[in-house]
Amino acid sequence: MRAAALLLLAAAAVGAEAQDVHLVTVVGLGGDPAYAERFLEWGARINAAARERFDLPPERALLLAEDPTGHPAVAGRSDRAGVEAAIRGVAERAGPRDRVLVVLIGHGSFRGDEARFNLPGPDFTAAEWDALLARFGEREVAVVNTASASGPFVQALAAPGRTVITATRTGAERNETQFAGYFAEALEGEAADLDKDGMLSLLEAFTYARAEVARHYGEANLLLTEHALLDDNGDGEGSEEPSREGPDGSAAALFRLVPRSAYATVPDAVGDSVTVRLLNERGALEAEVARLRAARETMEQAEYETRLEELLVQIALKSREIAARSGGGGGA
Amino acid sequence: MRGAHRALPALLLLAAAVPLAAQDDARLQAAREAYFGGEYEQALAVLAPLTRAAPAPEARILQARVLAETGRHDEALAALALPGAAAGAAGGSAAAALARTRGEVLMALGRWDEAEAAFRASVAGRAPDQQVARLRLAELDFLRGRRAEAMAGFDAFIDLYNGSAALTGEELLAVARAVTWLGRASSSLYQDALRAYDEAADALPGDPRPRVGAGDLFLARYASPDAHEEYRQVLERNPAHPDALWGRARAQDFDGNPEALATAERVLETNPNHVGARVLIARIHLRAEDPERARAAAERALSVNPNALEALAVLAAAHHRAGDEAAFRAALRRADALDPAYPGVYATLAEVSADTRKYREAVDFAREAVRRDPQAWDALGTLATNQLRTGALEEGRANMGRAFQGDPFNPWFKNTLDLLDTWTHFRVVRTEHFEIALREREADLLEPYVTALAEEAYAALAARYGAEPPTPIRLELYPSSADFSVRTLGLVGLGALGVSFGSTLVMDSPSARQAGEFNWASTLWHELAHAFHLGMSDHNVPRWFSEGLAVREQRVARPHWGFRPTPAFLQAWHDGRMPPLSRMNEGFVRPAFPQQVLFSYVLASLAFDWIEETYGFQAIRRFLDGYRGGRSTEALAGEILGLDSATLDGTFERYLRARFAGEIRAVADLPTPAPGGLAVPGRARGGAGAGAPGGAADVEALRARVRAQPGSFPARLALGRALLAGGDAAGAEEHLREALRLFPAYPGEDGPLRLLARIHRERGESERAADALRRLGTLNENAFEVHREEAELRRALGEDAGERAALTRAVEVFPYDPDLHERLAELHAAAGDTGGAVRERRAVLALDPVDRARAHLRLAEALLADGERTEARSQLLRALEIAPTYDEALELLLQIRGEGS
Repeated sequence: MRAAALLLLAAAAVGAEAQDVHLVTVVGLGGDPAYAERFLEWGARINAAARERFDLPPERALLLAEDPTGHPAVAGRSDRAGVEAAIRGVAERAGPRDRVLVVLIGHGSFRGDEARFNLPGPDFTAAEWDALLARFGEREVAVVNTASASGPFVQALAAPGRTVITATRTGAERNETQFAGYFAEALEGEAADLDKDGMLSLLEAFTYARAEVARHYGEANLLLTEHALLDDNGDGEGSEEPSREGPDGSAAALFRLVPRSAYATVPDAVGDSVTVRLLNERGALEAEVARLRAARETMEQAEYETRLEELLVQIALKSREIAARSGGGGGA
Repeated sequence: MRGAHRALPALLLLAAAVPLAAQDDARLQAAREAYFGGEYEQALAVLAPLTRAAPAPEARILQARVLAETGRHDEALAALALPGAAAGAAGGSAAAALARTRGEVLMALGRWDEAEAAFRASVAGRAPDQQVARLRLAELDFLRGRRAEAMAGFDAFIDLYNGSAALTGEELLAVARAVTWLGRASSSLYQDALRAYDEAADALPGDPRPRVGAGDLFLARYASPDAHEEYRQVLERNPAHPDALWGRARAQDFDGNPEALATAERVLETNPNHVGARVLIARIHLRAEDPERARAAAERALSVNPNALEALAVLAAAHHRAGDEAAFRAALRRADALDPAYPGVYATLAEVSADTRKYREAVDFAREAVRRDPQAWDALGTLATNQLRTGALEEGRANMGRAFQGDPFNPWFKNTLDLLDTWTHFRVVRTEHFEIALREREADLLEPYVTALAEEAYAALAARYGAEPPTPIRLELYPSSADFSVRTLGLVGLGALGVSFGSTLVMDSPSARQAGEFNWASTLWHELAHAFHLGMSDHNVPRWFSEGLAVREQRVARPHWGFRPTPAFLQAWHDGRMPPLSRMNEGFVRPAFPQQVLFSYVLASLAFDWIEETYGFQAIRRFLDGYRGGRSTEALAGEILGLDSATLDGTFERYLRARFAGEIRAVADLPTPAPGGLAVPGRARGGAGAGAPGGAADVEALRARVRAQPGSFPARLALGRALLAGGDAAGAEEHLREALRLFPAYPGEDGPLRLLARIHRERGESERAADALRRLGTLNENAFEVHREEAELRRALGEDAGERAALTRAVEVFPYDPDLHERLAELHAAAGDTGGAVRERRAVLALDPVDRARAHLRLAEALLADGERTEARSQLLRALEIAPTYDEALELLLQIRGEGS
């Protein structure tokens, strides 16, 4: 298993209060059977990944759809009442440090100054979604609006402690979007774990989906008609290429989902103070690598590489020790 | 004359009712109207009574204009000579009034001294149009090379315009022309010239000259649509107006419209002595590599005006192109005697040299033109363009900048400078024989493939020809076809894929077009072959020879590369629509129909199949040596092949008939192709039967056609396609197999092989499907999807070697699909080709994958396997820099450091 995930889990287990993730996936109005089918498929895949790969229990992975009978995983209808009920339920159930991830899949619209996400029956405007999300209080919340014309949601929902992802840059990007399909793909496999720490951050999922969307359009020889944004510093200005170094991306990098596979060896690690010490030492080395990277421009290349390698070798050796103690054999 | 009969009764009625002077005015106006409407004979008939005995200068001037405009210069001069009685009465002032027009007619005939005397008489006699005479005197100064005096003369018209409350229409025309001349030194003055033309048009209602002048001005400023509009307005009233037609012809020529020649020839119907039209016709012939016709047209122009420097320029170029050194030198001397500062002869020579691929010679000629006249911006641009083509990049860039400063309206100059600005985004990679410029964003991807292929091609061609072109060869790959076009022509819109200027090769990068549209590697090989041909022949090789041989070199390099005979080509050849071998160049430089250029590539390449098979490759080498010595194809064919032109043509024709006997029979019933389309679709991407007619009536009609013509390839193919579309795979297979037997090398992706592959695939016969695709892939250099589909099938069959080969061919066509490189890397590694694996892993990384940590790690592994430990470590650090806890990478790092588990 990846030691970083282990560290996170072990740290949580030995003292820190647990941070559960709650997922609400809302599949909106399809309008056309083909769209309805595709939107539901994407929503079901996201829900399945959350439950199967990231081990979220059914009550923490809710799927709402236009037709509650359309898929076994659907927990309720995605009309205003259904959405309000689901949000209210999560707000009541979630612990104070829990995180909430809301994913919207469907069509969006933007007329005048008002952006909407289309639901069966009356829609919620962006402002109404903002009011709904306020029910989560101080909890860390991420909203992924994968709909067309979703860009204005960035400004409408921006708030401290909130990550907002939209599939489009503006309300004028009204064509059908592909973002949701690739966001689902990011959740399903390991390909989007770009820093190989065994976990999937929202930043990684966004980066993966954005790149795959661009590739999709390029291979089909189409002009890119959706430009995804991420805002996590609350300024209402989304970034097309967020990163850990900011201005957007640092909070999304810490909004992580831990796969079920990472839990397998937690009991061993948690029960072993040596392992915990090693994990902490290794974490410190990782922090040193981050500092070295930040100082790269001020150093000669050879010196940078030498120091980087020294740190990485230490991390590798620590990893071996951790792996050996948690029953992972001698490999790093 | 018909018009005259219509108008005269009206004039007679008028004569009975009004006084004599008023009658004359009415006649004059009627004549003017007839003239403006192109009724030249009617105008002359109306004017005749006015000039019979009276001085009537206004009528005589109009008469002379009509006669000169229709090429009757001698009659014009006669009209301007006062009869005895008239000369006696008010002879002095009348003669002065006629002098300017007389001077203009003499000037058109090249009788400069007499013209000068006439203009001076106009000025001395204070004629009403003496300002126009002053303009002509300045123009004469210019023509004689007295630039300073000429410019001073033109400059006076600025004062005339600014200091006069009201100028006549003729004076405004003179101002417009003078300011146009001054615009050579100060381009902003062209706006003033245009304003003067507009004012002249107001002052001279109906007179075509201001509109034609404005059209010429627009054309000189490269505003072809505006020029067309001005000419159109004139031609709407007088469809035969010679100068407006000439302007339209020049505008068409500027646009690249092949109708320019016909339009210029129409000028001669009204004015057979129109020097400008003759010169344009000569230039068009010269560009079409027909120096004999060019010479004849230029000489015809000179027979009207022996001092026409533009005609002398084309004549000199025609002699030079024809290799007549003595006549060439004589033409140069003649032009020098007229105006030693005239740049046009050398500028024309430079353009013709560039058109015939003698770029260094073009540089020398253009440099001489600029030496003679430093304000010859066109010549300076030609110098710059050809310096850029011959590797003198810095000088070319500097000269292009100077040319643009002098003529900021010139789109060629601006486009080229804009392009040169993008060079900062290119990476220049140097190899043993090449200097390769790649756009930075795709350089990491392309560099390994391009450098390897370029050197492979160089080595192969050097070995085959036993000679080498000047090196380094500069190879530029542009991701934008528009940029490639500007680099080649200065304008966008060139449809070619690559161009060879000798040791400078310019081409589309593989990203310039969609996957499957072209094969960059094959194109590179083709252009490099030109570099050898041009180098060995000192740029004397005819175009047909170099193009055909370059296509043959593509096929020699890789059997599936290069154009190959299609049904439409064979049909055109069979129908006699292709020139014989001895006149093969015509198919390239003067194509008779749109597809003839493409077909000419095929036909010329087949000629080299025949020559090499029959006479050996040394014969081809001897041709190139012979061209270097200035010999003609006809002479060389006699010497090397022992064949005169007729025998050469006949022997080659028999070769083709024998080689393609079956295919010709199979396509003989093809309908004549519509413009731009093939009788049988050449290729339709993904078109494995889609869109074919499939209705019962269609099928029955197609069956009937097959019954009537069982040996017809298109009939069999159409029926097979229709049956497949209707779900009858078994029936389709029978006809598709027969189609394949009839035309086994059909290269189109819409042909029997692709359809048979589909049938096999749907039946689960993967191996047969893959084999059909493999066979198609050997016939079509662009078949990206075919290779990819074959690779899929081979993978399913577990045929690693076949899959690897198919993917290699796919990547060769379009290297931008990371999945193909990823798989190819795995296959290379499994086959022990560590170098190949490294190359493919580098390609994956160069395509900027979202998972860069993994891509760096895989490259590190490949490098390690290839023994590149140092770079492997570096790549590993790149991976871990992104993902410091990446288990696999950490483990490999420890292994590299000897700390393996």
